[in-house]
Amino acid sequence: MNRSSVPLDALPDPDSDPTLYERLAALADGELSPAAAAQMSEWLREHPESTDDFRAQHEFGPSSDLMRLSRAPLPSSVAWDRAFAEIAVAVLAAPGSSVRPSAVPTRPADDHFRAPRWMLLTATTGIAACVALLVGLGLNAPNRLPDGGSVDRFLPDDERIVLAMNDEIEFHSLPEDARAYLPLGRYPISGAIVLANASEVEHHRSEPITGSPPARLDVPGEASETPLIWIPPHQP
Amino acid sequence: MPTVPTRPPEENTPDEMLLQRISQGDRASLEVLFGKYRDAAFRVARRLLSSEADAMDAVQDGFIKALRNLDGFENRSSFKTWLMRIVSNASLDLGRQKKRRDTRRIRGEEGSEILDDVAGVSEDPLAGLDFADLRADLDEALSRLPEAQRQTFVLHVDGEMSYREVADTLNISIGTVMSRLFYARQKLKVLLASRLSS
Repeated sequence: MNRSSVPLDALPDPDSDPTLYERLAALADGELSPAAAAQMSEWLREHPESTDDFRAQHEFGPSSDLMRLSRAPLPSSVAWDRAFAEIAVAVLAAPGSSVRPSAVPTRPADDHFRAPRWMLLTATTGIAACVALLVGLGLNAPNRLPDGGSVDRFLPDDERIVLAMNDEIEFHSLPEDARAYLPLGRYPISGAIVLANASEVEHHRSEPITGSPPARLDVPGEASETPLIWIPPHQP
Repeated sequence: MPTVPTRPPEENTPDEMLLQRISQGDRASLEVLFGKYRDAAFRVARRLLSSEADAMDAVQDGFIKALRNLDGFENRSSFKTWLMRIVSNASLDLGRQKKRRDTRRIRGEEGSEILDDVAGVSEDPLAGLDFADLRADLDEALSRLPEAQRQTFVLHVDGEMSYREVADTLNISIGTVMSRLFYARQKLKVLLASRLSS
């Protein structure tokens, strides 16, 4: 029997069923159909040596006392209210907006390392200004990569987020302290950005692309911190 | 100007309708949706992480991501499975990052490679009580399972999701869910043998 397509209502002969013990687990969880459950129960009665296995499956099931009592208490209503308020602000702030800014986890009140709000605003403005400047100066002529290619081939239209167009940004004033945060006139990143290390990437399968040479994937050791997905540094 | 429905949502209002209202800025619908799934999401995150604060972050972040990226959901499954996928993946990510940070810190302070017991640190105020001990033992045993088995187990047992829901959440077959659950429990049985006998 194909392991990946075990139906919960199937009635295979238990003595020749390679998924017998998985079905025992399903019996303990009450997931089998009535007919299949009756069949497995009958088999269990005929094979008392498997009772311990069945008991273990039940003991670590959702309805067992062991699992129920070992659950951590739920947060207080105050904590839930605070979390909901943060979610509401993030989700309802701009209903219907086509812009999908990344969701950043927030921890209220006790985070001593949170940057002042003005720094965040300044940094955002700085990035937007940088984009505008690059557009204005023609330095980013259409999304060129170091190898002369275009990011268009990597980023589908719906995954690009336009922060602002060059004619949508205007500076009125800038605090003295904030100027250092504006990387005006040059690309703000000097090195590679590591998006994931080898230990964070799980390779399931590779599929060849028609007409292309076969890809080679060198995966370092499991505990390696070697960058595996990365963006090359910008080379103007 | 979006039109917000005037009739208040109820607990049995279908998720699709709640989501539609939320997209129109309806706070009450968001509150109902949050109330429906927050406990299950928290239990999953809390079991996969070792601190309540981190679990709350994962739940909060999960709701925000799930609601902001509904185009990735596309009604291919239920909102619950979409949310649980995001929350459980975020919890595993956070757990990995934290474990790495803690490992580095311990290496730096002690000059040695103390890798064990890092994930078992708990901020639980119930620490010291019997149930907290039980929880710590179980969390420790769970941390020794392969990640895929742990995620499947926690979604089913703590998220109280059916095999079908777990399969949809993780995009795997029901047979794989059954297999992972069976072997996860067999390992837990061995790892917690002394605890269970007492």
